[in-house]
Amino acid sequence: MVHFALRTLLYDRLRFLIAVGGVAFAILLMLVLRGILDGTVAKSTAYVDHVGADVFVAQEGVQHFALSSSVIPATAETAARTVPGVRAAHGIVSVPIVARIGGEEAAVRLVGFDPEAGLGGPWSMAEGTSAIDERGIIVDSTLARSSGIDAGDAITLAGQEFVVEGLSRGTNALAGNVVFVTRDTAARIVGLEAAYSYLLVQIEAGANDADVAERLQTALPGVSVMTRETFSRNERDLLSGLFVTPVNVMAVIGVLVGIMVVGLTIYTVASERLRDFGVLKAIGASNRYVYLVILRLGLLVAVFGFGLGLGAGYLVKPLVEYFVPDLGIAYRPPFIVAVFGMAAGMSLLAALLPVYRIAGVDPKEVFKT
Amino acid sequence: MTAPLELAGVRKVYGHAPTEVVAVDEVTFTVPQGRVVVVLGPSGSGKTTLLSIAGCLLRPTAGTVRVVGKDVTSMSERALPAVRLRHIGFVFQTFNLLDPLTALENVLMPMNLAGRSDAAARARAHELLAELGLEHRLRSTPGELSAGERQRVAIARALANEPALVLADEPTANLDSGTGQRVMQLLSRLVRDGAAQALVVVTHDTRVLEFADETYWMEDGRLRQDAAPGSPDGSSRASERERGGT
Repeated sequence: MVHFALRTLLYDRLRFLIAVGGVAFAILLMLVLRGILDGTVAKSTAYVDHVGADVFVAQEGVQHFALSSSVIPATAETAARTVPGVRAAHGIVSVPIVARIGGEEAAVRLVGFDPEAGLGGPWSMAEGTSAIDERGIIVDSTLARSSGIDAGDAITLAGQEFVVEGLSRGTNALAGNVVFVTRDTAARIVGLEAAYSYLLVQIEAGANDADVAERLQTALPGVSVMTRETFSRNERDLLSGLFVTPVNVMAVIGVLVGIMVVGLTIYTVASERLRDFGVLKAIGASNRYVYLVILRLGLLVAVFGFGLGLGAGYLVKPLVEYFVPDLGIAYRPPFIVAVFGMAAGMSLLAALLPVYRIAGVDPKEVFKT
Repeated sequence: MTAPLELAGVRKVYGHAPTEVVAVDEVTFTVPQGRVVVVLGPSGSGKTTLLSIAGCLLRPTAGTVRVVGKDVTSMSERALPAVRLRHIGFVFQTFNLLDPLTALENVLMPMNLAGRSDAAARARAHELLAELGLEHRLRSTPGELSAGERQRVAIARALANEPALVLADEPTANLDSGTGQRVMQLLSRLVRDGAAQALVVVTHDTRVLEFADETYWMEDGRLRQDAAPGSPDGSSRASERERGGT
């Protein structure tokens, strides 16, 4: 039966390609849109995920990093170091800021860290050093590439000139590429005195991050203490919440386009091959058999379309990441499975209309010339 | 011995009085085993309606149709495809092969529908197509075959499930006279060889009478047994041949 459905589908190659292309387009649209959302959100939490802190301390009520500003007293740093289970605690200054880089203004996240402590600074360097001085700055490498600057160049930030001493890797994000300066410099730029934005805490080996977070919360009143996992999840939820609705709307449009293309194609195939279905009925095929042929036509289109769409998705991924480095694309396996389910559902739905048409075929019509 | 086909008082009326059309009017006839029955008649005489009723594709308004002894008029719609599949083979004027499939696959189709094992179905299809001289055309699609070859594939398909009855609707109409002659020779030989138990041909082509054991004339929905050309007693040339005639 699969064989007959496949041969019927392949009988007109052009139409087959159009149908498969339509589904592939819908799949690609769903996959890329959701992939961009997931990838971009994942990139936006890169600092929290990779900076090396196990626990984050923020101003009371602050639950996020990228789109929030936070101020905590500098005394929290020394107080945190006395909490059992804490191996290291270092304050950072973190604020969104507009910088003039490569002659153009760019929204960036300025992070001031203590180069001697290391914690809070870049975790991967593409070029140069992370051991910067007060006039030094580390710029995200994709931002540097798109702005046409390199290590050793000078850039202006808040009216002050800095020398690019290093290019960091993995620190670009839609919400703002990260640029690093020393903590004192950052505090001076934003006018913070005896205060930091966040406290980054590393726990001792064998300690439990949730337990340490709880102890920190008790020891440091008036702050929010979160494990890395919680802080990162808060960030992802916030960003996903901002973009998920428009992405879903576009994905639904993709699905509707797919349903229309598959529906029209299967309907056309069924209409053009109506006589074949009449012949099948005449020689003894049951209605059930004929319906299953139609549904299999739909499923075959879904399978081929899904394969093509998925392949195209993986081809598009490096292109998007190269040309729009602030965006990330991540294809999560559960979503891929869900997309296949949607493709199958879409094609089966599209096959319903021709099923009704086929149901009306009178087998005795085959006697007519 | 059960007759492959029996019709008793079959009537088919389209529409309602006073504009009703009687397509088949009180037809009673039996097709015995091993016989080639030809129904002649002009266009619009009701031949195709009669064939549709005999093939369980159309329910009569009245009367009884028995296929291999089973009363199909009392069967549900859902049961009829199985009767067609297992007991009846169809040969159509326009061949009605499935264009996307090869000759071999077309012959395999009814056997696949009947649930015959793939190996057995393939062996049977190869055997039939070889018998019909198409062993070199197994992988050809209908579009690559001549009209005569297509009709032979259709005959192979009709015989695939070893039916009790083969119903042929104008099987020679789209063939040149020589090919039509060969197709009829083939069909009648296959019936006599036991590939099918009986053959009913409806046609307006009088050349087909040469192969008939029994001939009927149909006009205005009425059927009557008729003498074939050259056989004043009503028997056919085929019967004469069997009796040692021409």
